[in-house]
Amino acid sequence: MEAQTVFAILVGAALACFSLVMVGYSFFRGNEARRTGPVTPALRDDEVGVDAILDSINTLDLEYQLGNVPEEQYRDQMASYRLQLALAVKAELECGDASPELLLEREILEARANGAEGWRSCPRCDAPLPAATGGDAPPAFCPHCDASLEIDGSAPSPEPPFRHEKGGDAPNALSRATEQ
Amino acid sequence: MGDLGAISLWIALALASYATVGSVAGKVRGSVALVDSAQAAMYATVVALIVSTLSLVVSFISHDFEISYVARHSDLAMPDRFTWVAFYAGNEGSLLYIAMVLSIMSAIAIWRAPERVRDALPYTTGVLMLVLTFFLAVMAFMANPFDKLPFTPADGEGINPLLTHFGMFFHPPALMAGLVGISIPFAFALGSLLARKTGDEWVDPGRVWGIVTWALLAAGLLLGSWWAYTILGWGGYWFWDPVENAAFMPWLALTAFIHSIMVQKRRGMFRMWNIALINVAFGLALYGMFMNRGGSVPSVHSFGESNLGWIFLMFLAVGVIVPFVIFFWRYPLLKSAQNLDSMLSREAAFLVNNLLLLAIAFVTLWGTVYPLISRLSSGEEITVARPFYDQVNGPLMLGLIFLMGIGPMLPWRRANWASIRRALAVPAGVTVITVVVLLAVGLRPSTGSGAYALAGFGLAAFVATGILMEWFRGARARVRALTPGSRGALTRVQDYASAFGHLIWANRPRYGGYIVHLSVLMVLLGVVGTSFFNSQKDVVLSPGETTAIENYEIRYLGTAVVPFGNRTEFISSVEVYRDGELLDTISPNRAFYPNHNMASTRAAIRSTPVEDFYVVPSENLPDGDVGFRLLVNPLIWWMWVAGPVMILGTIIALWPEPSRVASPVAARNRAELTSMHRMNRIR
Repeated sequence: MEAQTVFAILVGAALACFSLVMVGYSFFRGNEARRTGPVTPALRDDEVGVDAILDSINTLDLEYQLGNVPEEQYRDQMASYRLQLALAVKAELECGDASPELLLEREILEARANGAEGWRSCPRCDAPLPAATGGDAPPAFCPHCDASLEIDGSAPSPEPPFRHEKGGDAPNALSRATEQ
Repeated sequence: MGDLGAISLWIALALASYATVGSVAGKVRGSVALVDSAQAAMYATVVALIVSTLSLVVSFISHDFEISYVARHSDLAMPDRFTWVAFYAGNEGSLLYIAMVLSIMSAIAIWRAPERVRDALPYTTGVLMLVLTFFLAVMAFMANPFDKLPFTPADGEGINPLLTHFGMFFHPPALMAGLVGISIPFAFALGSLLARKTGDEWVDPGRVWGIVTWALLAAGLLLGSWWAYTILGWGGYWFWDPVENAAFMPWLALTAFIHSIMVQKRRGMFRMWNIALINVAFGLALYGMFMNRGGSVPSVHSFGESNLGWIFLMFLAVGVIVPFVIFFWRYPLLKSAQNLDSMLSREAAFLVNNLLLLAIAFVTLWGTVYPLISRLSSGEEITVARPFYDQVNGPLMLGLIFLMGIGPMLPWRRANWASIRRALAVPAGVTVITVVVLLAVGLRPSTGSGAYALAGFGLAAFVATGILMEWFRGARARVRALTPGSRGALTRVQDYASAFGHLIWANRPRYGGYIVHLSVLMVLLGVVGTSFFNSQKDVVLSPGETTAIENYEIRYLGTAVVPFGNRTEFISSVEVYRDGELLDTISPNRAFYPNHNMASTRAAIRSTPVEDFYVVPSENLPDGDVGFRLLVNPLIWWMWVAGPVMILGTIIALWPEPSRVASPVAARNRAELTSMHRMNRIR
């Protein structure tokens, strides 16, 4: 038998063994190693995902800056998107499949609600903020709405300097949506 | 190495078959182990097919002429660098290439699939592996690249001379990868239907793979045009050849798909439409492969002497009928999340764009199959030539370009006339000025309708102005805006250049799309320039004679005959003058390959953004005279530059999105919603 043929048979056999191991491994490994059950959020067919709505909001924002969308329409659409977003995020949170940062925020909020110390909220947007602890200085700005926070944290600026005021009524719309 | 290649091919076939059956059976029976095992088998096919491919490549390098495929597509004189081209130069090798590419793409697609489609992945895997099994079975039973000859010839027949061109390193691989790559978004769509996931779960991978395969097809088509322009010797780049059409049609369907899938991603609309579109694109891709391998019409682009036509025709029938049966089975579940708010919206523009693209695709399909239909119906074959396509597709394409200018100006949901007027005023003004200036400078087309040519240039100006204005307004908005920097400090973007960079980076799909639109305009310039303003002259010159075309003059100096191992080259020397001034001495050549009884030409081209001066020897006469074809092709340079620009735009559009936290709008909304959620809980 030629050396090349022997080589072909040996490598072919190795390839066959590798394939068998790949295929058979799933049947022998422990069940705990497998993912089971559906994990996708149960979006209804008439729902659009959070990411898609956030994309839409970003796009609407850009279209407004480009002058393609008049102010009145911008306000209407922004309020509508935020309403959709509220419902979508709520659905994700309830499914326990929200993005990691949202879940983290929820844990923080729950900790605060249970009386954990060292936290305060931004008086403007109500986002959780770490208070002054030890030698660390408290944040000067709210990372969520950019409102400046005074050192003592008692009197933030009434309006954030970078905010799209055209959608300013959205939080009320969101609150209404949640209450519903 | 041939034995190893054959063994690994059979192993790949076994693995792909198992993956097909295992993934579907595992899903139906609820066996996670079986599904995982089938998925592992799919990954293993990649290894098996890479081994098989390497075996064939090594066989070429080592001149193993005992393997029939190697003997037919290479010889001892073939430079090593053409091994890659020889690998897919014939039917069998190209099938192996397709199988390898499909297995790699499938593995990446399944590995990187988002969690939301996980429930449908077994079906997606099953569909992909079914397609792969088909190609592997055809190879194993009908067109094995490792089949051996009963004897070992001393030398091979050599590679097809037309393939010894730089463009061949990329044109066939890109085109074949694009055609077979349509299987990926198709499989995600079909998998979702089978799993009853009829929402928007498959949209993200469908969009990404749709764009990837669209770009591959576009690159393949452009490179093919460039190859035809430089080597086929007739001075054109597109002939509406049936096989060219067969690659063009799926590209059109995919173009429609990658636009309408954005509507589904953004608004949950067009769910039925998108499934239908990707089914159509897949069917047209299968038709393209059928035309390449034994279709009814011979072509310079197809694999000659193929007997695989009937099996590809059967696969085409199954590939068209079964997906549409599944589509109609799930039809009642395919309800869009939202309705069209207004016909004056970006969604509506996308819809009209889709209809125009499909109209062009079906006109092209009709022209392609008409010879067959006429032969079957009347016994007389009537060939449909370029004038038909120009007259029918020309206006449709102009309509498409017009929509390309308007669509991006329209907001989602609805627009009002005032904002549209404001957005279009400047582009429309520039269009009018362009047309007036062109008329004033006396631009008159040499062929065809002057109105079409002016419309083409006017529309190019319209769309380009719209895009540039969008860029400028976006950059200006960023320069004016205060943006939060580190630690919440407010900063101002200093200059337009960095503002423009930030703008593109923050809206990559949109601005990548604009760049791709610009590349389409470049192609438009080339098409209009060469279709309406080119000049052509065929002459026979003796050494020392001169001739003129437009403001060029050439002097034919003589021809040198240079023998090579596998060919004889006739290299002509030609001086090129413009307005009496010597520009260059160029060397177009013509080579004769006795093994193939075939001649191939290499045009000499002086290329500038304004025009190409093109000289190709069409005939070498015994007395030293040479028949030359001379062409002046205006603006064609832009067509070849469009390729890299289009790739750049695609890369930008596909670049992964930044973290949501980085987006001020998203962060703000999430913060508000989280606060709201907390309040809700506390209450």
